[in-house]
Amino acid sequence: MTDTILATKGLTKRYGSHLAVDRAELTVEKGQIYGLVGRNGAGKTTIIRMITGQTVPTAGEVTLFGTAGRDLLKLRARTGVMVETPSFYPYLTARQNLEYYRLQRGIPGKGTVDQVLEETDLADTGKKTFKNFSLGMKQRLGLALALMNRPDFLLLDEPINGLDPEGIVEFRNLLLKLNQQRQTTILISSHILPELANLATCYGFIDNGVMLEQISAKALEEKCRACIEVQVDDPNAAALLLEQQLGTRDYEVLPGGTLRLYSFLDQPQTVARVLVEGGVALCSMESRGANLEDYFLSMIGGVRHA
Amino acid sequence: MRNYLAAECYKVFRRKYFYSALLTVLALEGLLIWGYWFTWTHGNTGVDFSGSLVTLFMMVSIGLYAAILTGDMIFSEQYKYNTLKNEVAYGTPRPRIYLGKLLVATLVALMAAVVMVGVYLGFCWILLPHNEADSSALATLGYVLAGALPLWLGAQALTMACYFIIPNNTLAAFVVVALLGVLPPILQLCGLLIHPGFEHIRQLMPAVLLEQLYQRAFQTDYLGLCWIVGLVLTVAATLVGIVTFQKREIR
Repeated sequence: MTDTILATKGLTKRYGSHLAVDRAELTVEKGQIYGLVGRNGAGKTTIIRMITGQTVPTAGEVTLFGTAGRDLLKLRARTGVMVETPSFYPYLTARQNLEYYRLQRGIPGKGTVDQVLEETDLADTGKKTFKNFSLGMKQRLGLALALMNRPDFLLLDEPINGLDPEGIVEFRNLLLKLNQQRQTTILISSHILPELANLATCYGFIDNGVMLEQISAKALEEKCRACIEVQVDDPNAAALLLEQQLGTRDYEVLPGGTLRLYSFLDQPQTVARVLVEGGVALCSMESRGANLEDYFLSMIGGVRHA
Repeated sequence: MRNYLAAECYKVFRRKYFYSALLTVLALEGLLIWGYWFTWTHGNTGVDFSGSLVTLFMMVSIGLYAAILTGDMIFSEQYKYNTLKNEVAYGTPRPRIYLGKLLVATLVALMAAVVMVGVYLGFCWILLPHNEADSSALATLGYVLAGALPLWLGAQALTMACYFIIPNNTLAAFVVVALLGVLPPILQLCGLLIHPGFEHIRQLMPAVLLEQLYQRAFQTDYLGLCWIVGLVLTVAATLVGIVTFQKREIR
């Protein structure tokens, strides 16, 4: 049985006449790494801001750890948040900035600051103030703040922006470690879909403020699995031929005379010959298969910037 | 709230801002005291300790505008640096954020006032000659400070409300100056040209009340008026500030 960490119900945000988020339903279960996918301006950041309390929803409800309403404030202390560019006081060092928030949040132990600085590879920044940090260092300090209270739930909005390739790998490994060792649930929004595909165990697709679909990584993989899709007049006869002539049962029959074959991917001519020689009329035949990017683009109906 | 206050104090006392502002004022004070001492040592017998306190009475109005500095020190341009999101997203209640900053700004302002008045009094006491007028001058100082305190508090609350309501710190500071310093002469003009009622309103403005404190020394009803105006301004500005901040989108 899984516990629901986050659930939104009819979450809506309207700015004047612009509907930024329209009745978003989003569910994140314990232990998941939830990838929120959408192009620029789709409403990802607005959803995250409503979850974190930065923006008051026009309508709808946010439930965190099974609790909604006024008690949400207390439960937000169990979350770690990094929304857009990390923001800190420019005249303070990394250690001073974190110490300020440690005091403010009442997190015990001065060693906590050193520990998260170590974890995020910022321990040797010394007297360098935040204003002199590179974008990558700023991102890592944002992550350090998000991790300081050992959160049960991490909300990260575009966290790998500004990180170099090595930093991205380190970041990915850190998130995987948190997820696997501490059972930290993670909601992460990113434009870099291949990177998201390396992490996420569940996806939510959003476009124009509307949640289009929530799907597990396993189900998505199934949907995107490479295959030969054939359109025939008699799918049952075609299936029999595939079993008898090619000795495979790795196929599925779909409604409307469609048949998907998941083997013999490199021998489409053999498949076509077997079907035609067996008396099955072949209407169409194509190789299919998609990655996360293709799937998202097909969902929003065209090639747009993700 | 205790954690919040501790964090704000940690931040403000690690900035050069507080120390450089205080040192600048102390340096100017030093120049003034040196001026008194220099003229006294060069034969000006009119200079004495009680006379030096009159300058202090006339400077209490500066406390109104000093609230802009202490407010800026504590608020730290949080809209510009987008740091409020770190507090709100962690679930810190917005009224606590607001009141925490107001309390620390007031604390810092009071500390600075104690240091500035203390240094001025101390050096004047040591360097300048004394006479029988000292005790009445010190009593007047006590009265003036007792009347100024609630008005300074009101100014601090108004300043903090402006910093929370107006996303641009510079503009917020201009609005505070306009409300505290520019509005009274406008009301005076309106009182002359439009309706005498405006003059009555002007008489309740903190800057006007402070100007008259020295002349109206030991009038307890006037002291009471200062406290009523100061406290009403504090409560009203804080309520408006909190209600506005509760609804604000934090980026």
